[in-house]
Amino acid sequence: MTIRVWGQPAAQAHGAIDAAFARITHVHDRMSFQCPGSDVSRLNRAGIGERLRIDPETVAVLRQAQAVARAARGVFDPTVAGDLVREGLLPAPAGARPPDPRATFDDVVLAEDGVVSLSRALWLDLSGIAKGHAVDRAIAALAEAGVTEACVNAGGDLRAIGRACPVALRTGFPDEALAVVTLEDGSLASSGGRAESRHAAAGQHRNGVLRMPTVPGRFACVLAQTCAVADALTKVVLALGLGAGDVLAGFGATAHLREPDGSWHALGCAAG
Amino acid sequence: MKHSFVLLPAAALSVVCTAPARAAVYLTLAEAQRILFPGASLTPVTVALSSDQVAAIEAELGVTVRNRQVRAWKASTGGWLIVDEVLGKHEFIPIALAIDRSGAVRGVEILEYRESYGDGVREAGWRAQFTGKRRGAALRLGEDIRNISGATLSSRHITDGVKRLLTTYAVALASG
Repeated sequence: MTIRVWGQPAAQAHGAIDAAFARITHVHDRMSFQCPGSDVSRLNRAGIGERLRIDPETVAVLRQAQAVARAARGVFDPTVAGDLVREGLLPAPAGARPPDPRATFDDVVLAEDGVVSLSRALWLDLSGIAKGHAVDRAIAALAEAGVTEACVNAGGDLRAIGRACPVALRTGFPDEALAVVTLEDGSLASSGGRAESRHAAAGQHRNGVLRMPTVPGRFACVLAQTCAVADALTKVVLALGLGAGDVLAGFGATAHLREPDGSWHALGCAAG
Repeated sequence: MKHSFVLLPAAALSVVCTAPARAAVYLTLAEAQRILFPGASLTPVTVALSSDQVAAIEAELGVTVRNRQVRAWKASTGGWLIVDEVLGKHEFIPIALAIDRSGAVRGVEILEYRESYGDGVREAGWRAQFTGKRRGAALRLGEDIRNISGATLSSRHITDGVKRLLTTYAVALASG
């Protein structure tokens, strides 16, 4: 995680950066899959129909995840963690009861008052959107502290304000042309198939409908206003490939997609 | 989003910044030695911890000593370099810890990082938090050492590793 701030006296910049890190820590504490005290872990232990009151920020991330899941007709699904654990790709969360193999993200029921309940036992893993959300929160903290030029980078998920930020994409194909995106404002997130990875869980993305790994050799870079949306949409682009254009456009987002044959394609809202 | 996208031909790159995330070797041992003890010559010393020394370390810290072999180098300018491994999320991370002649941390270097995520522990600013720490310092993630979101396990295990090596130094090397 890197936070860069320009145009501020050092003391003020450090204060703003500390505030930004505190927001990030809060997101981690509430939304970690492995941390037993997180809201996600509480949901992963919850019984069917049990009503849980969770942090408003976790509720907001769940709502955002639902918006992406609905627009993408289920190919983005934060409950694929159950499949990954079953296949030994992800360690099982401590203390969680086994998930129902039929469960999908539709089984997470969000009430108007922010109370969450489950209609099937499931394992939720918000890591496909919470990292982007943490970047958004960090940028918000910086802006509240009066920072006008900054870049927050969480290992490929990043958001910039006030300053052009060049990013070389780590596609995992180092012999090919280097893709460089210069982000002037807004957010960027990228994800790849990395089928060859030994650390399968870290590089595994699933199509939430087919419950199958996404196409190996694909790499998606998504640009959107918020980093949470960009983060979630990378999974949609990996799953749908060139067919993801409409979903992207619905969120005002653009993507640069590398297909397994090495070709690059721009999708979604007009670039530039 | 206002942005530009360009593909730079691989052959035209004089500085390559693609760094695939996995198994990146950041520093060779020789480079780490030069950074941590510039100008010094280093003499390798391999120490096998005795059962009493292992028991002393485990009693002080409540941890298990996995490896009784301590890979250390004594610097001609005073101080020690210890190379050890700590567990990241799934893989071991080799680290080099430099301790000055008074027993305080001079620096920590990450030699290799094999995980796909969480390489924020490489940030110089994060590692600099260890400088000056001694045996007995709290060295607790979220207290005197900042947590790194997305690299909690790596940052915790490096913090625990530095703490263990400071005690190992005191128990096995300081008198040497």
